[in-house]
Amino acid sequence: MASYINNEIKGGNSSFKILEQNIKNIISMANYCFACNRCVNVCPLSHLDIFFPRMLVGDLIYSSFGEVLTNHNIWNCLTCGQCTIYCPMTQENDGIRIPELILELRKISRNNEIQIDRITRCETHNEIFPLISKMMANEAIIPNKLEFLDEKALKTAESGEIAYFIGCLPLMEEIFYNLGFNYNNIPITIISLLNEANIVPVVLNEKCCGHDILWGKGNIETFKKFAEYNTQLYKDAGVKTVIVGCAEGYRTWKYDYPKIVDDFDFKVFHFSEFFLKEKILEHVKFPYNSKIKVTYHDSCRMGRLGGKLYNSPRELIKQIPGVELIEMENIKDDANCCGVSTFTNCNEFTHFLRQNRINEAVNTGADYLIVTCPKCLTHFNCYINEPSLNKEHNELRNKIKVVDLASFIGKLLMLV
Amino acid sequence: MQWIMKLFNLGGLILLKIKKKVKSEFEPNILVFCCNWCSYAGADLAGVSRFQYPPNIRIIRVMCSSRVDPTFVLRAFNNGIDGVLIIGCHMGDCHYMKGFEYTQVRMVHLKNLIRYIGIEADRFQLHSISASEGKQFSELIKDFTKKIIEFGELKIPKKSGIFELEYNCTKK
Ligand code: SF4
Ligand code: SF4
Ligand code: FES
Repeated sequence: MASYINNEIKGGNSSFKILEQNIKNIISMANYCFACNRCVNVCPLSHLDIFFPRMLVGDLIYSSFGEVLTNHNIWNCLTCGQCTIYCPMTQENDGIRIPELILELRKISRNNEIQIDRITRCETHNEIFPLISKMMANEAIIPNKLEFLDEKALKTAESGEIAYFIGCLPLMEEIFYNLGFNYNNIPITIISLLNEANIVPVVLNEKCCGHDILWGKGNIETFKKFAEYNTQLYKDAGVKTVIVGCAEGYRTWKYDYPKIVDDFDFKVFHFSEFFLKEKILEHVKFPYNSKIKVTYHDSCRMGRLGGKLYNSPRELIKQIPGVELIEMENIKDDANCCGVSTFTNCNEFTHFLRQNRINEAVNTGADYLIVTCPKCLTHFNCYINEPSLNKEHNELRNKIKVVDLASFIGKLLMLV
Repeated sequence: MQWIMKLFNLGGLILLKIKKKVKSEFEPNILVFCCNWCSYAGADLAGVSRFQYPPNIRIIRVMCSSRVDPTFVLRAFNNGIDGVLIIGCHMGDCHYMKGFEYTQVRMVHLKNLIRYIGIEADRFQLHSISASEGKQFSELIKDFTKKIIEFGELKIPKKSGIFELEYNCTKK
């Protein structure tokens, strides 16, 4: 196995042990495949002719590692996990799971010369997000992003049992200032609703969760730094329960941190789960009872890759009086991808995926499309607001509005 | 003869020590983006009229200040630059009509972003200098350098060789 690595990978990786383990993982995963081609049938990228999961797995088994990396652009995969639902060989902790296979491949090949070029080509927004992550990863840099809390009279604590993880929302607000909504409404709503239930959450200046740098760049060293910093910060504050407001943070805290941090003992909840558990919305009075039709988009990081958390956001929506939830054609396991994950691959192909999903949402006749992931929120809004020569496209703005679940509740309660 | 050689050696040593002493004081690396039409001409005028300013800056000329993407600034910080200055035309004077207005909107947000990341926001500034303001240019650079020296070195480790380009060119 060692020669396999040495011959195929130029550029090398700092820790050889990780490499060997990774390759073992990859090969053992790939060997499960029996070439049924189901993944190609469901993968949205195969329909657009840019990525074929079965061929990639086949190359892994029958030819060399170098060939895999030259023949396939592993940075194209959205890691949306739609293939894992139909693959007969996918199991909870066993079998072949394409997104994780891709992640392992990315971890190895990020130092490879051809790959670096490809990564840069897939990056969106001129690589601003990886840049921020890289800067934050320095030990001496301590983020300072809680300013927006001062304007509102919100109660937060320095230490306690329950913490709320804000993530990068204040940063995203400064980057996408022109999309017509405020990302900070999400933390403001969540904290003020918690306060109304007499819970004073711990809110700290944590660093980025590291999701993007792991999945989009395969950079495990930086990810480890973030994981250790954040968990240590919360341990020092005596936190036992972590509430996360976004889908990617949820996935990272719940499934990726325990793998990489020793003695990880936090209970992780998505805010919708926590609100249902504590019955927070049941005690809140909504000021007016207007009829609103909404539809809900399942994000991959909370669904297929995040423990299939499909029901709690839906139940939370149903608790709002006067709101009617109309389901789209493809929901839950079959929900289509918004087309961009980890701020990579925003191109003319994935544009089709967004078009598809928005059309599905418009066809339900709903006024609002509710999402729980800040990336879906950004990309759908970007699609709706982009200038176009097409008349129908320009009318989309009046037909449907894309909002986040938390800020939707906040607007109805007039908290934001 | 030997004692003369020794004296020379000694002299060399003393010189080296002096050099070291000078080097140990903090010399910030500052990056300046100047737009072609006003502020670069202003910098030119400062040079032509021999207004003195600290040698810590390197100027990158861009056609308009709105050419500067926020990531350029972040990338500079990530490579270990201690301060970044963007200089454009005065409001309404921009060669491309609205360029400077766009820059202003963008940079207000960038300043917040830099503060959120955990870097002193004043390490990055936006100013306007017109083609006739050579004096103001040298003053601005003096003030900014003083401020950066007060802040001290940026906590991000320096990449070697960013400011040694000139040296390498002469070495062939
Ligand atoms: S994770 Fe998504 S994009 Fe990647 S192969 Fe599977 S279905 Fe295709
Ligand atoms: S669906 Fe699974 S078993 Fe079938 S070809 Fe794809 S990876 Fe292989
Ligand atoms: S040309 Fe000077 S700012 Fe636009």
